Amino acid sequence: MSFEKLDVDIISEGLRTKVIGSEVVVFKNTSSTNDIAWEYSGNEANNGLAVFSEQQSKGRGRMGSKWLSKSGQSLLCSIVLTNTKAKPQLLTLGCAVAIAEAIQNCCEVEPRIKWPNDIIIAGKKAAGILLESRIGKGKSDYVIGIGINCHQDQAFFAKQKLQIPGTSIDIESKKVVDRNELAKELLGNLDRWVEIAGSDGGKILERWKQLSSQIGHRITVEFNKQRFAGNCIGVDPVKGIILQLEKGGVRMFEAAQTTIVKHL
Amino acid sequence: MSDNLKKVQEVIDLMKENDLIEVEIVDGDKKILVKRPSATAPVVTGVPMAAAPVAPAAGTVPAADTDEGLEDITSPIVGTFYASPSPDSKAFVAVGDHVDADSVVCIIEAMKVMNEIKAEASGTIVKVVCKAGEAVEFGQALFKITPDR
Repeated sequence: MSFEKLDVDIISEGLRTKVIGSEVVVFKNTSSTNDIAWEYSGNEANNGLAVFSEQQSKGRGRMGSKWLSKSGQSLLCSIVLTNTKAKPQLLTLGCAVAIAEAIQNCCEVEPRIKWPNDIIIAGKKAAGILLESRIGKGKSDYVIGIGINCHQDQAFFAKQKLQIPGTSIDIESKKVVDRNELAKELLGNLDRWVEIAGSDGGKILERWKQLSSQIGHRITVEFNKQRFAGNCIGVDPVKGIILQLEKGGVRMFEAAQTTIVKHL
Repeated sequence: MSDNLKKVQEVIDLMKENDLIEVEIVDGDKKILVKRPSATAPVVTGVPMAAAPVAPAAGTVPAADTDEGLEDITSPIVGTFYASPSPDSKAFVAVGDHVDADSVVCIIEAMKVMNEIKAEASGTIVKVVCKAGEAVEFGQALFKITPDR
């Protein structure tokens, strides 16, 4: 089955954003959209440029984990940010909110956020973010990498060994999503939430908490090379996550130094 | 936010404001004991069990450098230290490597933002202070270098 092709003209048409999507480029095949975006980021005039690709040969996630996709089945996008006032932690949360809202507006499903920035639908991972920064003297550049599973079927995920089970928008909505429409919605939402990340952190935290999925679930976190399992009794996007530990006690894990490794 | 989180967060805020090390609150059969070994890493134990193991605090800023002539490359942020871009790949730098201000020496991950850290100094790496996956604090030494003269 062949799906719609990504089209710069359709994505850009009627797009009323201030920064994100100032220019849109679509590749048929790349190593990784984040790598291409970093090449563009050398020129400040490319602030807001969005790189899409039908396929990635070296799609990556956090710490060398792979982001798997077949040609034309995902929405793969990286955004160049060379000039933002937003703090990185708010940028992470703002991007998660923007993706969740874009999917919700476009696809008639109910996405939720797995702390701090994975997008899940019905408990399965549907989209991920790889936010990279290069910190220099007095200036930070960012590339926001986004992968959204769109047209994959159940068989695709059954073959993979994934830390968190995966799903796609088509599986969950029982329809075929139009990736060009989703791309347009995504750029609009990112533009709005990245701007808010630089001006009104409280608004991001409030919306993030409404979309959060952790409380009441049994999860395992990794902190300082050790794993801790417990029931999540509290979550704050910036401060951390509070677990009722299986081995006894309640502990707060600092957000900056903790990763969720298992979510049931 | 759940009631439990609110309570614990309030206690932590109260401790930070008043620079307290330990607070115990007893409410009927519930007991909350919060110990704070350092100013940045609150450790919460025992609701309601007693004698829960106290978890170690996050990394602390090391004492003043006694290695004469060496300089530290320090962490500009709080996060998790990684010496290489992925577990299977080569470290950005190793002992004996020469770095300049723009050399990327490691990644510090904070809230899933992968931050490439530059040396911001020129010299030769003498020691890699942190291990991959280790929690690091703001200002903590990551590498020791012999600065260029």
